[in-house]
Amino acid sequence: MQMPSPDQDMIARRNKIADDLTKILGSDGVVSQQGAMSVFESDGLNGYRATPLVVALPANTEEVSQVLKYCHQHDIKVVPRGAGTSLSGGALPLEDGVLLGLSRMNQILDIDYDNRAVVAQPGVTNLAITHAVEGRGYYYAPDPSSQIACSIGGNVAENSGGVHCLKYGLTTNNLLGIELVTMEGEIITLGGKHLDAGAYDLLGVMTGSEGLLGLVTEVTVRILQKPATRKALLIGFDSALSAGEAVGAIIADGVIPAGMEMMDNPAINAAEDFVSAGYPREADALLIVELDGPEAEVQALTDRVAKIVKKKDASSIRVSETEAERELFWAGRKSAFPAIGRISPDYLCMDGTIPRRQLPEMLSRMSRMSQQFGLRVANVFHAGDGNLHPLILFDANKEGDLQRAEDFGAAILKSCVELGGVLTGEHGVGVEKRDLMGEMFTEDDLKQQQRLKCAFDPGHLLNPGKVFPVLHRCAELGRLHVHNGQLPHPDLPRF
Amino acid sequence: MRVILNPTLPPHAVRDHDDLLEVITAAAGQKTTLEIRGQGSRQGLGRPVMADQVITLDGLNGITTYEPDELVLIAKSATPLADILKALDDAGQMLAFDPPLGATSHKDAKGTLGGVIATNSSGPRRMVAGAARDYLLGFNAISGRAEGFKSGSRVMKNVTGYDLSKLMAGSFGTLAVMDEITIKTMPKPEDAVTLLIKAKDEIEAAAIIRKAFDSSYEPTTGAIIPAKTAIFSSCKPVKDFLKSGAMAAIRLEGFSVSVKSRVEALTALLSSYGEIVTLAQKEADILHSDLREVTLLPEQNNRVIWKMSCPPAEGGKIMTELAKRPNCRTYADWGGGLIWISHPAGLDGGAEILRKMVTSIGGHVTLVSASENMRAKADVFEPQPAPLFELSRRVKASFDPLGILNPGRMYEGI
Repeated sequence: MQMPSPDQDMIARRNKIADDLTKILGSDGVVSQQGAMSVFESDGLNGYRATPLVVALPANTEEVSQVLKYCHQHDIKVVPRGAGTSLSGGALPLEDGVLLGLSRMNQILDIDYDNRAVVAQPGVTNLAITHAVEGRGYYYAPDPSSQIACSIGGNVAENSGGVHCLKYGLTTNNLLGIELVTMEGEIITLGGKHLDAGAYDLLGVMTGSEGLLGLVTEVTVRILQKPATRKALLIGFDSALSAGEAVGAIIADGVIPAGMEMMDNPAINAAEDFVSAGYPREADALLIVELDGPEAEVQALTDRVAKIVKKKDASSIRVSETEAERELFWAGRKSAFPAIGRISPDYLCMDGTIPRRQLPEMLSRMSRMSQQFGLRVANVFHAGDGNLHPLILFDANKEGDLQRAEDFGAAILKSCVELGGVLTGEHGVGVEKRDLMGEMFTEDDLKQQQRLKCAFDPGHLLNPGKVFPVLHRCAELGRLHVHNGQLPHPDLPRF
Repeated sequence: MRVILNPTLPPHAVRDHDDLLEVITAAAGQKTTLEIRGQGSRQGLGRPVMADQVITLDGLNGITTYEPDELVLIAKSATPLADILKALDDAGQMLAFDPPLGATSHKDAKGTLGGVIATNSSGPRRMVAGAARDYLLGFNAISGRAEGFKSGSRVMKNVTGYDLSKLMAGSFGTLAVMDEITIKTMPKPEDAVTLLIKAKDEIEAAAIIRKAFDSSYEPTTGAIIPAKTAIFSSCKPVKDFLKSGAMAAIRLEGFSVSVKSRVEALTALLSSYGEIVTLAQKEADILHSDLREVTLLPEQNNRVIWKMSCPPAEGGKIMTELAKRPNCRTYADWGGGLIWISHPAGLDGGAEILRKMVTSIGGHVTLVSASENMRAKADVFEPQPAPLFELSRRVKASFDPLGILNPGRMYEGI
C-alpha cells in the first residue's frame, strides 16, 4: 500500500509546529515525543503503521477550530482520529501530518428524553450512550462489535453498522445532527433535534465520509425505547444453500428480524470450541435469528419463523427460553473473531456486501479461492443484509503468507462487486480497500466524489491518501469534461 | 424580487439515457439553463425555476428490477409513482417513508419516483421509519457537467465512497438529473389501528404522544390535531370527536396479534387522559391520508401553507402560540416535530414570525403551498448562516459548475 510520500521539509518543522500547537492547546493537548506517539501509530488495521508529525488533542470545539485554522494557514495535513478502532486504516497517521485526536472530548452534553435525543462529544463511546439512558428504558440502536471502545464521532465518520441494521439502520439513519469544523476552521451546525435537512443533506454526506470532509465535534443521536421482549432462534442447516433460502423466505413472509446472522462450518466449530454455546458442530450453516418487540408478537413470530425454516430443511431448531440462553446463543457469534484467533496465528477480516441471493455462488467461489490461495477461510455474515465477513486464516511468520492473504481478500471483494455487491458494508474504505475502488467505480464516478471533497477541502489537507486511489488536484477536477471529443459549440467561452 | 420569465426554447421530452446525456451536454456547451420535470406534480415546491428550456423525463420510465425478498426495487427515474405502488401492493410491500401521493388512492398517485426522491418527500411514518433519503440505496445520474456517474448500489449495507444518495435526495434537481433509482422496500404491516385521545389543548396532546413514545408499545406515528383543524378531516369519527381543545392521534401497526395487544396496553397507559376512541384500519387509513396529504388544511387562494420541522417536544407550545394569531390553523405530525401551518397570505405569509420562532428552538420552516409570485419573492427554504450557505454553494458547483440545472429552485444561485 503506497501512501503519499512525506514532505521532508514539513517533518523538519516538527518542533516549531509542536510549539505553535502547544500555544493553542497547552502542553496537555500536544504529544510530540517519538516514544509517546507510538500508541497513535496505527488503528484497528494494525498491519499498517506510521509515526505522526505531532499529535494534537483539543479539549473543545474552539480548540479544534484553532488547530485547523493553523494547519490550513500553514498547509499542514491533518488526520482525524476517534478511538482508533477503524478496521480499514481510516486513522492511519501521516508522517508529515498532524494527528488530531478527539479522545479528550468525551462528555455527554445533554440527555433529552422529551425529544428522545442525546447530544454527545465525539469521543464518547458508542456503548456509553446506551449506558447513560438505559435507566429510563432507552438505548442507542447501532451496535458495531467494537461498541465498548469505538467513539460516536468515529461512528459518524465510518457510518458504522452492527448486527441490527436490517431493522434499525446504520448510524446515518439514527443521527439527528452534528457540529462540524471545516478544514478552514469554520464551525457549522447541521441538523439538531429536529428531522430532515430542509436544504442539501450535508449531514447525510458527512456520515461515512471517513474524516475527509470535516471534523465532527458534537453529535446528536436519536434514542429508542428498548423492545419489551427478545428471543433468539438457533437454526442448523445441512447446506448453506438452504440457509440462504431460509433467510429470503423469512423476509418475503414480511418478517424483519432484529438480527439475522449466519456462520459457516469452520466458524461454527471455532466458536463452539471457544464458548460452548451448544452450536450444532455438524451443520454446514448456522442461522441466528433474533426477534424483538411486544411479547405477543415475538411469540407469534417465533412460531412463524420456525415453520418457515422447517420447510427449508432446517436440521435443528432451538429457541431461547431465557435471557441468559439468548445471550449464550449470541456469545458464539460475538466471539467468532477471537475464536478464529485461537486456531490461526493471524487472520484478515474482510467486509463486503452482496445481494443475498448470490450467497451460494459466493460461498462456492470462496471455497475455490481457498484452494487456489492455499489458505483456510471461515465465514460469518450479517445474513439479513448480505454483509459478509470472511476471515482469512494465515501465518504472518510464513514467507509470502500475508501477501497471499491480502490477494485472497482482494479477490473476494472483487467477486462481491461482480455479483452486484460492494467493497465494504461497514468497515470503510480507508487505506485497506482504497486501491480496489476502481473495481466498483468508474473514473467519472470517482471524480465526482472527489469534486465533492474539493467543495469541503480544496487543499486536500484532510486525511489525504485515504479512500481515493488517485489524488487529483481540485483545479484539474474543476475543468469541464469534454464528452466524446468535444462539447457542441467549442467556440463558446467556458471556464 | 425576481421577475418570472418564460422559457425561450421549446420543451424537450427526453427519450432515454443517451438522449438525456445529449441534452445536458448541449446545454452545458451553450450554457443554456434547464428546468427538469417528471410529471410536474411537485412543481409548486421550491422557488419557481426560470430556465431557458423545460425538459421532461417521459422516456425514463419502467421498473427494471423488483426483488421483494431482497427488499430492493430499481426503476427509471420518471416511472410513475402509481406504477411503483401497484408493483409493491401486488407483493405486499410498501414505501416505508410514506410519501404524499397527491391523491387518496395508490392508483391515482401523482408524480414520479424521481420526483419523490428529488424532493425527499416523506409522510407521517417518517418519524419512526425514516425519510425518502433513508430508502435511497443508489442511483445513476448525469451531472450539470454532462457526465454520467453513479453512487451507492442495490445492497442494504454499503459504505463504499461518499453517500451521495443522501445529497441527491432533497436536492430538487439542482445537482444532477437522476436516470435510474434503487430503493429499499419494506413489507406492509398486516394491520393498523389509530387511537384518538381527547386532550384539553395542544400541549396536553403533545404530552400524551410523548408518553406513548416513552413506552415500548412502538407507535408508528403521532399527530396533534386541534378542534378547529379536525373539522376538515374526511374521517367522520375524527371530524366529530372534538368540540374544543385538541386530540392526539397515535397509530399502531404490525402483525395483528401484536397490534391488538399493544392497543390494549396503550389504552390502559393513557387512561388517565381524556376519552379514547379506537379507529380500525379503514378509518385509520383515511385519517392517515388526511395527515399525509395535508388535506386537513384546505388550500385557499388567500392562504399559504408552511411546514416547520422542530424538536418534537416544542410542537405543542408552538401550536399554542400560533393559535393566538388571527386565522392561523395548524396540526402537527411526527409527534410534534412537524407542524403544518395554514396562514393568511398577507404580505409575507407569516414568514418573519415563523422564522423567528424556529430560530429560537432549532429547525427549519419551508413554504410548501403558495402562489408563484409569493414563492418568487419569499425565502421558500430556511435561509442559511453564511458559512453553511457558502458550503452549499460550493457543493452545487461541484456537480453543476455552470448552474444549468433547475437554477434558483432552492436559493439564489442554487
